[in-house]
Amino acid sequence: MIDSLSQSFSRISVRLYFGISGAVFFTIIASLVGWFSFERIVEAQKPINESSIPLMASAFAVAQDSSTLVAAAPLLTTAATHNDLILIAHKIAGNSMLFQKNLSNLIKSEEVERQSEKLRLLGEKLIGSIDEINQSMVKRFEVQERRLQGQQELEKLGSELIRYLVPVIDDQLFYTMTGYRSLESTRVPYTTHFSPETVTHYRHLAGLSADATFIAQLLASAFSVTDPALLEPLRERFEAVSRGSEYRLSKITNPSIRQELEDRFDRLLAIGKGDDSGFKLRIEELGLEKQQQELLLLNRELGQELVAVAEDLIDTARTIADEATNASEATSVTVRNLLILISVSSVIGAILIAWLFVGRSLTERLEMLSYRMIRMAEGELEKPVTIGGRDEVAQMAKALEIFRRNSLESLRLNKVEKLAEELRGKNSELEKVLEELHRAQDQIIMSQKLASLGELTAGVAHEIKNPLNFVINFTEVSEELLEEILEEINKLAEDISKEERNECREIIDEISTDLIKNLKTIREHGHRANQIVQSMLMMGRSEGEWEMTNINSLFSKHARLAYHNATISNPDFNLKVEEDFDENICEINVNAQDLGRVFLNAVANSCYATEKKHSQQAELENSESVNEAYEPYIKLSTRLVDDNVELSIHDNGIGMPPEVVEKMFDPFFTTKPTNEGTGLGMSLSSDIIRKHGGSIRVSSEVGKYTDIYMTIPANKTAAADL
Amino acid sequence: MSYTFSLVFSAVFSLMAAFANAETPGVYKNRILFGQSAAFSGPAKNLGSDMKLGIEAAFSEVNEKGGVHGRVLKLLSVDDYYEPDAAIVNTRQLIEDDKVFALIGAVGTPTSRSSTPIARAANVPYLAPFTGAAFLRDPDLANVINLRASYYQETEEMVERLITDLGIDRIAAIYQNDSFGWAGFSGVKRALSKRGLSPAATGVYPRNTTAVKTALIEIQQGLPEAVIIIGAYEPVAETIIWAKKMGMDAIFFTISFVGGDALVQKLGPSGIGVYVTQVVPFPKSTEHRVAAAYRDALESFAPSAAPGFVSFEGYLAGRLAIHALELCGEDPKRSCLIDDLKKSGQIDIDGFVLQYDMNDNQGSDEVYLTVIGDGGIHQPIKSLRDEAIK
Repeated sequence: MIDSLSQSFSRISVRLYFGISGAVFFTIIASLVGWFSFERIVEAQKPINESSIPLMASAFAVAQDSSTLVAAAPLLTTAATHNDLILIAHKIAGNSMLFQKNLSNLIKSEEVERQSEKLRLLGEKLIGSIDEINQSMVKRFEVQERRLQGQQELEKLGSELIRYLVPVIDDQLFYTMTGYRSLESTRVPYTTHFSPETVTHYRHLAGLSADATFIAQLLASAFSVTDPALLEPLRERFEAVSRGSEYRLSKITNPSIRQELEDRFDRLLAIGKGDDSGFKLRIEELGLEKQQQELLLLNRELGQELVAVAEDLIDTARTIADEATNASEATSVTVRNLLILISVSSVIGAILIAWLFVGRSLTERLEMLSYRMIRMAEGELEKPVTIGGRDEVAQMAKALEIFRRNSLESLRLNKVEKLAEELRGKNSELEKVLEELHRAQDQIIMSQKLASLGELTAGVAHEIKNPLNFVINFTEVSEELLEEILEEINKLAEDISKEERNECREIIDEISTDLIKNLKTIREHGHRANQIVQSMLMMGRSEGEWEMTNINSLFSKHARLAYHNATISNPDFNLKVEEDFDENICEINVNAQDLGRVFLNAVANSCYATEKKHSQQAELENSESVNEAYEPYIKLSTRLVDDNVELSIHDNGIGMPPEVVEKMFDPFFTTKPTNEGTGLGMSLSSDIIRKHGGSIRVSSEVGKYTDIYMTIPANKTAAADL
Repeated sequence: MSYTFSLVFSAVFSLMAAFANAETPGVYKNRILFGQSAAFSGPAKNLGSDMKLGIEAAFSEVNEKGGVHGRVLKLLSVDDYYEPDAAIVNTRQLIEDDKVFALIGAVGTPTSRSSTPIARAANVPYLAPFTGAAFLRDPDLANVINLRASYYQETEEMVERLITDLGIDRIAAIYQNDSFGWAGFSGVKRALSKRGLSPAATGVYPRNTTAVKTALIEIQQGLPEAVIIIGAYEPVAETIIWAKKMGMDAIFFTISFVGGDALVQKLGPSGIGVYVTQVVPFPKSTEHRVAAAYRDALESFAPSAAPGFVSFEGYLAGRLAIHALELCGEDPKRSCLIDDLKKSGQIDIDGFVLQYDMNDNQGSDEVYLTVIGDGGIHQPIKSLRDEAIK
């Protein structure tokens, strides 16, 4: 149990899984640690994010808004026109709304409740104060507007009045001095024009002019006075002057002038009198200014208070934020350390694994294994594979070792087999050679036999030749003598009577005919013996030249000869001859004469065979046991096969039994009757063929057919005379 | 880095734009625009309209020939009723809103006093104002180009003529109570003190009125042999008429600002023997080529208008402007008018000679004498002894 456990533990896969699981485990641990820590940090941060920071932000915002508000009021007082005022007020309204909004956000948090409440109160007061100032400014503008109008009115009336008065005064003075009223009028007496009345009139007019100027000036100063206290004296003087001018006006005697002047003065004076008088306006205006100043002062105090509270608020908020930040920092430090620890240990672990396990245990051995494999693949199978251990690598090593041994074995076996194979091959070769040797031996023996036979026959033939010649010659001579006798007879016959002659002639003719016939027969037999002798002589010799010959035509020619010979002797023998020649056979170097003889002989044999069968069939036909008519048939064919010319003669003749085939090429062996065949044909043919380096064989079936095959090398190789 | 680049780029671009768009104000592809703020109503109304008439006659004359360097000249006039406040408003408007190339033919001393600083600040040329005030001749006022001789020169001539020609030494003066009047009166005082004299009597009357009689009384008490009157034509006429009515036997001498024809009309028969200094030649003169040119131009432009001193001055102002534009070439710039004109030496307008230089922004120094004759016709004279042609 323990063993198997230990076994499985030493396996690489197991170790790897362990290792990876370990790494994964470590990672998960680290992640979990990280996650928990971050959770904690987030927890610590929460107060910051949720309260401290917003709190600070709001505090800042509120402080800012406070300052804006504080600055708002003086801003109002700087408005130059009513429109400006409206714009500024509008902007301030926006600011105060913002202030209140930010403040309401602030009030929600408890830590700064105290300050927020204070701010709220102050803010309210401040806004109220600003409102007051605004209203005051509005009123002030209104009053100012009226004042300006008044000023314009004053200027206009003033200059109009003066403009009216100047020529009037001028005329009056002139008249007073000179007595001329106008260009058209005549001069009045001196006493008339230079009288107390005219002078007084002039004085009044001049006075009125002065009054007018003075009034205008007074009112102008009233409009621009800044100290309300000064208005009273001005008013005092104004009233005095207006009284004076009233008096003077009453003294103007010229009604139209007076009317005109009164009109103008009334309007001018109205500016200083009544409810809407310049003085009143100015007092109002100044009063408003003063009020504004006071409000501004109050406003400033409020503002300062507000700013102080806002600062206090910010401090509080900041403290809260700091605390929270510190807490989270502490946490994050702890976490960081922990993570560092884990990371370091992971790294160390990884290094150890890599070095000890992977490196030593695994990589080295794998490398060794792979190296051995490579060497083995290259053919080095001698060295055994020795890699220890109990894991997959070791297993692979063992397997490799087994593999190595097997390879070695099979290599050896292969060698052995190869050798055996070789031997077998050599054996069969040797057998073949042996066979050939046997054949050669047979052939040698045969040819020796033939040679001796040949010599014998040659000797015999030679000896017979001479006598034969005598036979032949003497027969010839005899024939000639006979002829002479006949001649003499004929001559003698001339003397005899015709009847006697005819009778004698008949007898002579008979006798001569017989004699001639006998002589002929002798001669024929003599020829025949000669032929035999010739043939026998032929056996040892070959005549004829070796020359390039067209085998097909040679074959065909001699075949036809044979055929003709056959048909001549037997007219109702119709032999069908088919020729199937290969055109590709070019001329080969042969002894044409010899070879022709072979062809002739073979075809002749075929003809004989078919003729025999033909006669046999004819007999059978008579006995009605045959269905078809026998058609004698010979096929001649030539083929070029490799370097050999194969000729074949097929006939559907009587065929030969195997014993005959065996002896076919033996000299003097024949199946023909004695007077028909010498028995030397095939033996000679075989000889000739052999001389050509070829071979001849026969295949036959009794009663059916016979095939003769001849093979002649196309190019003359040796094998000449064996 | 890119900030500096963009800064430089925008500077260069705006410079280029400036150059590209320095299309000088008032200078368009085929016209140039001039501006005039003058009195077209009130006691000096003739002055404004006659100046305008003269300027436009000159412009029309050159426009007929295709203008100057292919551009026709146009005049835009606005009424300031001889009041400084209105002059300020008008000048601002002409420069900023109407974007005139130059100002020409303004009327009056106090009005000019108010409007020249505005023109100066905007570097706009201020051509040929109808006033001889000394302060305008300050060479520091580089953008002011005066056409006419100064009041000092006129009053000097008056005093000279009176003393030399007639042997008079009791000379009184009445003047308008404003800078114009004061300018003229200072000239008289100066001329007299130069000769070791002082005014026999002085009278002042309020501006923009005809309330002259009080002043007249004062004058009368000085028993003058001659009275120099510095004022607008209405008060001047009033003074002379009353003086004659009062039996004053004095020589009356007045200044070109009166606007001769209006004065003559106002005076009627009382006008005979009244001397008037002028700063332009006699419009009906046959001696002066420029007068003939003026008459021709006026004839073509406004056949029903009669030649007069003020419109003659206007015509000369126009001719000056034309000459300056011809000088300044295809692409006239304000600076050309301001600087180059002064450097160009002597300018001859059909015999009427103008001379400027860096210290002299007044073109003409000529004062012409005229006397009102029978039937109210002005006549040129060389000396006060000359008999008025009947």
